[in-house]
Amino acid sequence: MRSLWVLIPLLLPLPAVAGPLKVGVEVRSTAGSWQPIAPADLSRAIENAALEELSRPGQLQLARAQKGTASDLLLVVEGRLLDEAQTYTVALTIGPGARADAPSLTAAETVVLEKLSRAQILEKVEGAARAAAKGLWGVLGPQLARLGDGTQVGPPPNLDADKTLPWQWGAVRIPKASVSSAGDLDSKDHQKRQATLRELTSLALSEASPRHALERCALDHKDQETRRGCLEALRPLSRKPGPTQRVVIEVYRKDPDSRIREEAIEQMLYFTGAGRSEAIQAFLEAASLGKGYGPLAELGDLPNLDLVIVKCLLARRKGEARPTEGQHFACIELLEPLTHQRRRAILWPFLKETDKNGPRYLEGAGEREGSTGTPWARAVDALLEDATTWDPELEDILWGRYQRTLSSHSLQVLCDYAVPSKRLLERMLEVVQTAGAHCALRAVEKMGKKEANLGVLAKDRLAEMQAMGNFQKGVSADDLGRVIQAISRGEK
Amino acid sequence: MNPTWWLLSLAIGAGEPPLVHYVTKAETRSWEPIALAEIEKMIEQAALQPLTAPGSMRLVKTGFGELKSGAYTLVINGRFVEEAELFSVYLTFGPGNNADLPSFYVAETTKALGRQSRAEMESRIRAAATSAGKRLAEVLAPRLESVRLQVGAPPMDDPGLPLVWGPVEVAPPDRGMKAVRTLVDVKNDDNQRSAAVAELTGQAFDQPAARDALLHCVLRDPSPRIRVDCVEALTPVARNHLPTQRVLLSAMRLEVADEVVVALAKVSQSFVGLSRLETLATWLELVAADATPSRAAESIADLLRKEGDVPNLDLAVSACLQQEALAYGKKRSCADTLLKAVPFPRRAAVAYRYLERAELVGTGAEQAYEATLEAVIGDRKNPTDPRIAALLVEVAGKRSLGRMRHKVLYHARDHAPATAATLEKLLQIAQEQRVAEPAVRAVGEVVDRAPELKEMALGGLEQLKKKARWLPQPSRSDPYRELEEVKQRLSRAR
Repeated sequence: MRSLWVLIPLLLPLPAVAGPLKVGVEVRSTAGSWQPIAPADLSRAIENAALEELSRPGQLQLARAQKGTASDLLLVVEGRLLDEAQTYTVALTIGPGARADAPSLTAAETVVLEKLSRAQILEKVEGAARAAAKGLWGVLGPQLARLGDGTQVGPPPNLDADKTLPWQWGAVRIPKASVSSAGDLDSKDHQKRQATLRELTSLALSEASPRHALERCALDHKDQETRRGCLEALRPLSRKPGPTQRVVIEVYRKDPDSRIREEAIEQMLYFTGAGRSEAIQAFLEAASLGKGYGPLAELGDLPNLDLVIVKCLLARRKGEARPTEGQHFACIELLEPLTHQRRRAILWPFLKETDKNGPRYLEGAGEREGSTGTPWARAVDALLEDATTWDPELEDILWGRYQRTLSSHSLQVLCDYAVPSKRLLERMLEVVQTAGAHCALRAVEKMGKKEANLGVLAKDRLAEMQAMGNFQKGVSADDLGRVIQAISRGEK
Repeated sequence: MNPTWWLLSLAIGAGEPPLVHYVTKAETRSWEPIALAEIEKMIEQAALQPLTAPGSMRLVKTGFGELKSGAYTLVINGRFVEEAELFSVYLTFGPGNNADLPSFYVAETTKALGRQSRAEMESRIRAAATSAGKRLAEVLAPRLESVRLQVGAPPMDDPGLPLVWGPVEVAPPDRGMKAVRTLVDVKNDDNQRSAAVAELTGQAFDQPAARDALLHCVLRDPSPRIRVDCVEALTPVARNHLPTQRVLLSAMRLEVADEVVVALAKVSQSFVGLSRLETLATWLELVAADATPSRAAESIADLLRKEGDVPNLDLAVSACLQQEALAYGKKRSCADTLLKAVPFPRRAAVAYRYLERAELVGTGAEQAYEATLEAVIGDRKNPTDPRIAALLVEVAGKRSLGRMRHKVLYHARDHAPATAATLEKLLQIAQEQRVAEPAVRAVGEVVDRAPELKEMALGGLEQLKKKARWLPQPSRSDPYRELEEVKQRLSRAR
């Protein structure tokens, strides 16, 4: 039984990328009452156009997904007709299939189809599909190189932080409201505005025109309070899929007032289907701009998340010279669902940054880091959480940080892991000598016990310190003597 | 669960379709355009036709006294709704001698019957009964089949509630009274409308105009606070007035303000008879719906918990757990409160898809998942459903389950099937550092339950030790040490 077991290919690593990746394709469509062409015809058109564009670089084998057939990646081609606005959105989302290390990315384009002939509609949606496919490939292509590279050491390819998110939002189109009282929303008389708002709120529950007036007001009204009132009036209407949801998302994206944005978030939390996907993209966009994170930390791995985290770590709010600590904490929290390789690709340039004024510098607290959480400490912890090998380059980064800022967290990590090497031993001895750090002394003991040649060197250097009294007195001569003895015992 | 598994299992020994006892009853308060005895025959015939067609049940008509002596029960109800001049059909399927299937409730309401010829009325009533019968048959067919074939009920994939609510209209309020005019014209400010509500409250019981104005307010007033006042003003009349009850239940299904839903739910607790069934169905619909505001969903779940095992509970809880809305706390109240009201043997079918598909990171989502797991994991008296037991090992491999994988692996130790396939899967999972320790421990516990797997496990652990890439974290336990301990323990075991 045991010998048979050995034959089971239990622990085969994933093969490195060689040749095109197999991509299973799924096509979905959403339509309301407005259907200028059969949704099935539109689906066919966007599928063909998107696949043609994505097949061009020759790195993907694209075929309809079939049950029971595993593919490396999964591509969802989704088309959505929106009533009233008469727009069509093409969304392409690619994510892991059998390749769990693949990133999840999405791109979208929206086009207006109002008053177009059948041929023009088809031409326009195909164009949108091609544009979305180009946007998707723009971010996917560079990341494919990383697939299959299971290595955890050395610098990973940087994610291009300058790249815009490939989700293009179409313009929001609201039909002109015909209800006569809508104009009173612009009245200079506050009482009159409020009375009109109440009336429209009630009427909008059953009529389209008052709803259009409220939607326009929520987006454009100059008075903050009225804008907020109009948005609140849309609550029951945004619970149903349709154009109102798109308006609420646009309010969230564009409104400068935080209370109005909070109301929009509250409504977006109840969206389902395509509206939910768009709401999530809006939350991601806001995070990439450092404007808030919505419920992102609760949602796990999402399309475009890697790129968003990089942008989030770099985003500066208006009037601020650099991202705040709180912002960095929130961005780092979004790493939770990512694999080690993906975390590494994101964090590496930030961990390497030593210039305090550099855009990628993560704030620490030097010697006080042990008692307070800092973006630096959390980033290091996030990187090490799923690491399966010790990266000597990370050791250099940590040591560099300790040297420059006396970062206690960096030192603690070096002491705790203490993967034996002559270089690390010398570094720890230096810390014992100059800082009298007990953790460094324990690291010296651990390395000395594990490797005999390091043990000899450690004992010699510690004995020298003991004899000359040439060390910082955070540790005592007796402490040094105890470690020398412990290493000697360990050697026997 | 692989659907093939379920289909294949159907091939195993089949018995007779189960015996279902049924009764029919129609009622009205005052409006009776067709004699009730005729109505009963009409709806019985129309509803039973689609139910008998699949051949999945044997129906026997009984009185209420013998109803429970069959394997299952079916109650066919109908009632005229005065004022609105509608007719509603209700079909309730429930336990008799057997309690292994969920109860289901289906309702259908006709379009307005007023001013229609008798033939047209009959046609609409029959159509409503047939439609209700068809929907009940759709929900029941796979479950009755699973009883006949003696296999577990299939997991609930798309658990929509089988209810069609008829039109609910409120007569335009008679604007003769000043308070009615003030309340209905929402251009009046909140204070004026509040004062009007106070004035109308005392008249709602006797004056139809006051009642209609308050109902209009519940459905249309822009202020949630005033809507609550209107609901409370209607409390006395709502106890017995069927049209008012229907409007309030409809308002509850459309409302998005927490405080108004809670006020409506409070009033609806006093509804009895067939209205109680509609009330329970409305509560279940709210629990299942993505659009229901979070706090209100929690309150409703609490009310339902007190009702126990009611018709459509399984469908509603399953839909609630699978809902898409991102709002915090909605699933948790279903997992914590309502799933436990479902009898243990039925919980696996309710929770399976959620446990299989959930992706979670945040605390709220994890709490909901954990509560669901706790509810479906059995003990000696109630063993864990084998499909759930097998699922534990499947989902433990899903990275997207985050920290919850530790909990899943903890349960897998005692409940996952003690087979070579489970061992193989656990050893694969153990390659991942984050869950290596609980997975290795689970390997040891599975072998404790199936000692014949000892050699296989030892071989696998040896392979794992050689090839696993773990970097022990100082703040966590060392998976290499755990592996050694399990190996030693297994080697010592006879």
